[in-house]
Amino acid sequence: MKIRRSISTFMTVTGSLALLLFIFLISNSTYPLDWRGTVLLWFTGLDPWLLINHIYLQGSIPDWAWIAGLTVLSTLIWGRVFCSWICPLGALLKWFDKLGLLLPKRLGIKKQKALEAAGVYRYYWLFFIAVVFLLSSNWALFVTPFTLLGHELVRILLGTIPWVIIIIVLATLLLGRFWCTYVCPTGLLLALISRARLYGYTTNQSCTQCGKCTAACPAAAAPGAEGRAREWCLVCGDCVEVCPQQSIQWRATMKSGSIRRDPALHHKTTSRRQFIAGAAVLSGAAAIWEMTQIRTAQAHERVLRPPGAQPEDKFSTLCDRCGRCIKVCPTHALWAMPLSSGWIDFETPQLIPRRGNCDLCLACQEVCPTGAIRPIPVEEIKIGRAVVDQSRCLAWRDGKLCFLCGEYCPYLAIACDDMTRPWVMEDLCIGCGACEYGCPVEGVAAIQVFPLQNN
Amino acid sequence: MERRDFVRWTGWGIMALLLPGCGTKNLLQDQKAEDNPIPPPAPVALAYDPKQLVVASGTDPDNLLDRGFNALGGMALLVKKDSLVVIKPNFSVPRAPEVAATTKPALVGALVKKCLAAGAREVRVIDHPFTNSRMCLQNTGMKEAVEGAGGKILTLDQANDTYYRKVNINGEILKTALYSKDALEADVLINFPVLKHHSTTKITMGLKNMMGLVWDRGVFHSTDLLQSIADLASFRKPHLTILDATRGITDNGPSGPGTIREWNQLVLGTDPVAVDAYGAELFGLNPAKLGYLTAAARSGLGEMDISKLTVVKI
Repeated sequence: MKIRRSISTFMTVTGSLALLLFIFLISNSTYPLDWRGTVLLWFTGLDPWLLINHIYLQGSIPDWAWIAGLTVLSTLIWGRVFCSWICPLGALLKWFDKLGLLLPKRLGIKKQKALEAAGVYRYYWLFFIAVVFLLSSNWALFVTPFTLLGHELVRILLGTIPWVIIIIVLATLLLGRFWCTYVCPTGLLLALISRARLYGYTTNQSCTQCGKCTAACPAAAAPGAEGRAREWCLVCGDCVEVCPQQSIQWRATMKSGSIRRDPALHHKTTSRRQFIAGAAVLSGAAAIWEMTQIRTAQAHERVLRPPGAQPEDKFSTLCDRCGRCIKVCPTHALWAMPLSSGWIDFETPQLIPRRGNCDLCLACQEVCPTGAIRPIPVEEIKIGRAVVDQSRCLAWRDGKLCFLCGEYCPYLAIACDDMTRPWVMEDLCIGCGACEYGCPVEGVAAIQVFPLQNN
Repeated sequence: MERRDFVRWTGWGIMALLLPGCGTKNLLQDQKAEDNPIPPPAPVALAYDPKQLVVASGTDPDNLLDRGFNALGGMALLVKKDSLVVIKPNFSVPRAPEVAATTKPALVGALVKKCLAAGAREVRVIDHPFTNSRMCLQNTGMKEAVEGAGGKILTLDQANDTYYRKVNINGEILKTALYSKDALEADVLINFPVLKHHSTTKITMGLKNMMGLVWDRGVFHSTDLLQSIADLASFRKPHLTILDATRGITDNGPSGPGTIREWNQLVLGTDPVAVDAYGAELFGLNPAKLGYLTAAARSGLGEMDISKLTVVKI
């Protein structure tokens, strides 16, 4: 018992350390990045969803593929240990699940009943995600743990309300780890893999079916009823701790002798017919989803992307909206696009030179986990092109001694005449926006950067 | 939900809505300059001969500064024990020292060390770079040099009351400005510009370097740049100006990269106009062609005619 308890404590500790490490890495992603950027990228690479996205959407295998391989391998052996030992979001939700135990009987919500009832829809959801994914949308990636938690941490750090994580945390207080068992795409993927796992929690002959493990399980996966823990078991060890018979043990799940089938359970499993019907509905839903991916033209034509961003159509497909580039940008030039610019661009980064110019430190390339911002050399970067508005320029219109755009330009791409009236040498301009940032004209600058594809 | 509960929660909701805005204060820009009494500058400048310019030739930073200060009358006259020294070099563009668009960091580091050795309580090195602060601190090598010498380095990149105070400039054009708090508080203010080309003002030296002590420079350009520079320079005279004319760019200024010329000189003086006038001649330009210099001389800030000064060449 002592050893078991200490293993469970150890898990809580590793999970919490992973959470702290992740918070540290996100809040400390500042220029210059040095080793922190690499650690963050490798840490994130543990997520097999990210690897699948990378392979499917970019047609290449990244050099960190082996890291995701470790997660898959560990799942094949021990089940979802990633979710309880390493996942920072899992660790956070574990704490809030435990905190929820302090609520007066979780405000009367029948947690186990709710979790069981929702269980049927688990793989419909995964199917939906798969269909959307095959339609070349990485939408599922938005809600994977590293992306979601990172995104919300960035929101906190930038002073906006992290409403997604607030909702999840509040629901966790009442419902236990529903997110990890029903929603998280990484979790569902690992649950699927976990069906073939070698080791897991099983009961032995001394089990009296008292139901205590079922009541304690935060994921409705306890081994009590079936003889072994379900495949979505989070390996948290709560069942071991509550079992009065000390009947639950960690051992090879494939030993058929240890598994006692409960015939009553089979009534609850979904029939094939139902599954096909559900799948058809969901495919339709996915198709409709794709049709909502329409851009608002004005937002799209004006948008400038970070240096090294993929071409526009590919960019919004690849970007996982994790917000790391927005966090790391030392000039605060990158901003999350609002919902008003359309669903497809929502929360993707855009460069707003008027608020900050790009100094081409290229930290955004270093932190981008998906390759939406490619690590291309600084000489090849073209963000856009600056255009002088002579009707508003202080030198052109008022004859003032102002050549701030030229002073700010790090590429000497702006020339002027004796009256300091500026013009842009287009072959030298890369669209960093230093001129637009520096322009002293009130409000909209008299020199502005426009994206290239529209000119 | 019971009616009573509904009423209660609505009440709390309304009270919560009133919370935003609490604790915020009015912006620094909106404050009245009259509310900020300006401390008078410490009178140490009188220690050095105002009619004297010292020009030290050489390349070694320590040696240049040593000889320069000795010729002026020694550093002890300027930096008293427990004084706060503020140095304003030019590190406003994120260029490496080799590009010669910023004050040589080795010189600034050496000066910091000497001030501390002379008994200064603290040495602060400040600038308001017009590009990204972090990159300026890193790329110019200024942070490394200053912190290595035991000084503090600050970039005044936020319009808050830690960095700025609203003051009356009372110039011909420039009336008020958010001016560096450190520069106002300093017992000794040393202006440490670099001599280099500038696209709008032809050359930038001491007077132009003072623009790195204010928050909003846009207003300079949208009104009258040359007069505004003179107004600002006349508002508060640094106790000493040291012009880094060891090397500088002669085109593509202020950002560079450009053609580098080496003069291997350091110009020290308490008269900011005289230092700039000397720098202009060194650069190969008639000082009378620099609009901000003539404007400053007209307002009585200093002497533009070098023949009226004692130039000590060492």
